[in-house]
Amino acid sequence: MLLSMFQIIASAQQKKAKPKKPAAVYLNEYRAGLMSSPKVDTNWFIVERKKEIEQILKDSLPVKWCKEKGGEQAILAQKIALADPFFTRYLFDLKTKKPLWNEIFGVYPARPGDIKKGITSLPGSLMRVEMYNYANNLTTIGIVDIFKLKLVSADHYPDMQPDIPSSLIQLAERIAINAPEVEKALGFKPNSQKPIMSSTKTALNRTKCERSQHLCVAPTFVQGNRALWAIVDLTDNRLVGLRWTNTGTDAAVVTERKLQNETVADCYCEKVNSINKNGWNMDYLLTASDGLQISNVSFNDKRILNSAKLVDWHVSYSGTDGFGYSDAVGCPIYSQAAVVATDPPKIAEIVEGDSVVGFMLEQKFFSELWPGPCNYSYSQRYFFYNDGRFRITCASIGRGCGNNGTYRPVFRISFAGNEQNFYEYAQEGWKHWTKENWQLQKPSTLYDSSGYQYKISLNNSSNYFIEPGKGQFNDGGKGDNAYLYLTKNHLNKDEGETDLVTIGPCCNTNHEQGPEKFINAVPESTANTDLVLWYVPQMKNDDRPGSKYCWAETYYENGVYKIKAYPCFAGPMFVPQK
Amino acid sequence: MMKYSLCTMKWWMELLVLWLFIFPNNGFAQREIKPCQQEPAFIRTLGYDPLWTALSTSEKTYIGISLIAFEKKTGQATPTAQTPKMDIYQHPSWKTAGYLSTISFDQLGNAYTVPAPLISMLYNQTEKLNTIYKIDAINGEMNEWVNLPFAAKPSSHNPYGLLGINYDCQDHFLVVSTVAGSDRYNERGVIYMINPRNKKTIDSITNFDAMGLGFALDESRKKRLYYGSTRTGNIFSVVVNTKGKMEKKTIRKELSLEGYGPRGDDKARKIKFSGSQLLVSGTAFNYNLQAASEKPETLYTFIWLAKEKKWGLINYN
Repeated sequence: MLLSMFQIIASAQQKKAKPKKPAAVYLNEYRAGLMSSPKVDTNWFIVERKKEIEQILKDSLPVKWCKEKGGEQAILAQKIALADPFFTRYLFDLKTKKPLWNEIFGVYPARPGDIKKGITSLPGSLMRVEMYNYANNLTTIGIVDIFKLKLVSADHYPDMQPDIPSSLIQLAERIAINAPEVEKALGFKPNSQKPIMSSTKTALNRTKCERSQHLCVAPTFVQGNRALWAIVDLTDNRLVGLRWTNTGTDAAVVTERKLQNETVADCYCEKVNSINKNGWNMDYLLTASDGLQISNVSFNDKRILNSAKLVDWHVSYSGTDGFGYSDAVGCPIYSQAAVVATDPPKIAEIVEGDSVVGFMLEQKFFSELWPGPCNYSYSQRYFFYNDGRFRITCASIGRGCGNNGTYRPVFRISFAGNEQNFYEYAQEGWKHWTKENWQLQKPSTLYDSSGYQYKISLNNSSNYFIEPGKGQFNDGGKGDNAYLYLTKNHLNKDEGETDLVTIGPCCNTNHEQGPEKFINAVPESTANTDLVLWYVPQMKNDDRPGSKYCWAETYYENGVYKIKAYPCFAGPMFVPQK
Repeated sequence: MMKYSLCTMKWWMELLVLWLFIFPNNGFAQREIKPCQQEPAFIRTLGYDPLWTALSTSEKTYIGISLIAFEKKTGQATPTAQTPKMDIYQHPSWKTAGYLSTISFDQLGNAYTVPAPLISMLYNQTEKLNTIYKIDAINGEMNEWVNLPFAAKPSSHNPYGLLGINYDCQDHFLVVSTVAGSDRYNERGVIYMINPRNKKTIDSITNFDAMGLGFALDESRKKRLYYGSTRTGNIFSVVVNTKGKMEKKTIRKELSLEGYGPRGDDKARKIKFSGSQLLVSGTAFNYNLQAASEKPETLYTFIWLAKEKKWGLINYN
């Protein structure tokens, strides 16, 4: 099964939540297509823009000139600036020399503040040329003397964006006006007269795409005393999301990060959502520090799981004793998570051959500067098959602090039923675990003829085989090498059911990953009782060409940088015994 | 006589013009209070030169506080950001409180610091999130100094307690801010003004979540506490009298960081004055923990624009 086989389908139903019209809508992630096929643009103005970019990247200087105003003088000023090697320093990737996408946003008469000390010129001879580099999110400002035909000063400003030209204002408006989400929010399809303040890089109305570091503007539609901000990403040419605000002088600025955080918090951290699909029923919730939790899971009306969640990520680096991190994943605001959900969970069909065989629920988590060094990204995926199988998985998507890291995620899985029993496949057949215990999956581990290592019996009529990852799931996973812990679930005390703080340190390389704390000094009986499974796979990262694993890196495409991910998925399959 | 009188008038007018030029806002600009902090004596006792050391709470492989000794460079009076580290010293007591955030010194060389979980809650006890720690100037030992109350039971929806700390060099008070017990819908933070001589709380501002704290003199030469909200980019100020009381009716909004800088949603982590410039260190803050990488921080420099009667951003980097 390949990731590209997934097709995004309808969003989940919501229940147990008060019906409330959302103030914000977050549409899509800028990393869409990271582990699946990216969306194809069909709007003619975006297709044209992309063609234009492709064409300009083939030029000797990959720069779109500003021809909007200023006439001959403005053209001359650009010619002078672009002939100077300091002004053009970042037009190409410094290492690979590949062309980057640049655009001159404006040419203006220089202001007194632009002229550095010691520069002498005739009145009206100095022009200011503002160029934006989309790949590096960098602004270059050059001051040229059009009489002396030379560049007199130039500065490069990282993370800064100049005021956009009217062609981009028009493009942003087109993207917003033609977005069905805008029409839905306003209740009518706006026309070009409707958006106001679309060049929002003014003191009056600013916006930022802090996470993607892209050029964003916000065409704003005013309705009565409310304003609908449509954040448009002009690096990727797409609508980021929508947000209603009250108009007024003290109105808050709407940005990409605020939009993402509020949408995720409102709709997935503070509301329990549910899925009713292909015989499966369940609730799901983004927790403060235990990832995406599923609960009350049943198949064909038979209850299977109380809950399952991802408690911790332990990351240790072998080169340095005791160096590493314990990361919690969860909600983006008001949480104990260090690596946070920036996009809503997704539900996708699982397609094998030409048939839909089930569905997947996925949540991704990112730290702010990923995939930069010492930044992390994780994915959590639950698979539910039409035949009753299910799989609980997760992956590191790099990049971390080095190429010698081992990731140890900690799953907590609580099965339903008060008379559970647990078995391990052994030489003599299925061996009953009668006491709390833990075990490591090793090369010498025995599996039954179908590849199952463990079996859990929920009651006399319902058993599930447990098949750990051995590289057989076609998701790039190389095997789980997992610790499994079996603990008794006391119903009268918290055995980890509520949101758990970090339960283990980063760098233990043995079974002491945290779940062992739930095994009593004198291990309790695990026969005919409520049980909890803890599953801790171990994935070693790799940055070598051809075998990249738990890794991510940027690559060049069409004048900008994109991210390539090499996730390391791990997690067991649960197969109902017929 | 007449000549004398005209000359006198001219002299006074010149003085007035000069005065208004230097202090355009009601005669005075808001400006810094002269620093009073002393170096801790234990640094010399340990054999280090105080000028070439720094206490740090952000050393990657050290939990808590550590003393960094820099390699001395000829021709340099003090270390720079590029100066290599020569040695890192850690008193055994300095890691007992888990990860720590800001440090503030008093005029005797005692250091005060507050806990703040970094990547996980593993090393910080929830019940100690509202505890101020003091490092003794003489022996360098760190101990719990004051335990402040919790406005509400700590929960997984807010991993923080104390966030800001600063020392008032004019009247010698310690100010701290806590957000313990706050959540998305309830702002339960408190700013405490504490007398370090008897550890007593003199005054407080309640139901306000703040992080950056700084003292300066306002345009009327009154001492003000400047404090930055953790929920918005707003920075407020309040007059603090010589007895440490905060005159609530004088609270005013100074400026907002909203929309400024590379992120646009920064909150004030540190506030200080350099002469009459207001320097604000801004960073993203969303009441969650941070990943392993250094958190990007931007230093914003503001000057008072007398005509517009507001702070103007002149630089950020």
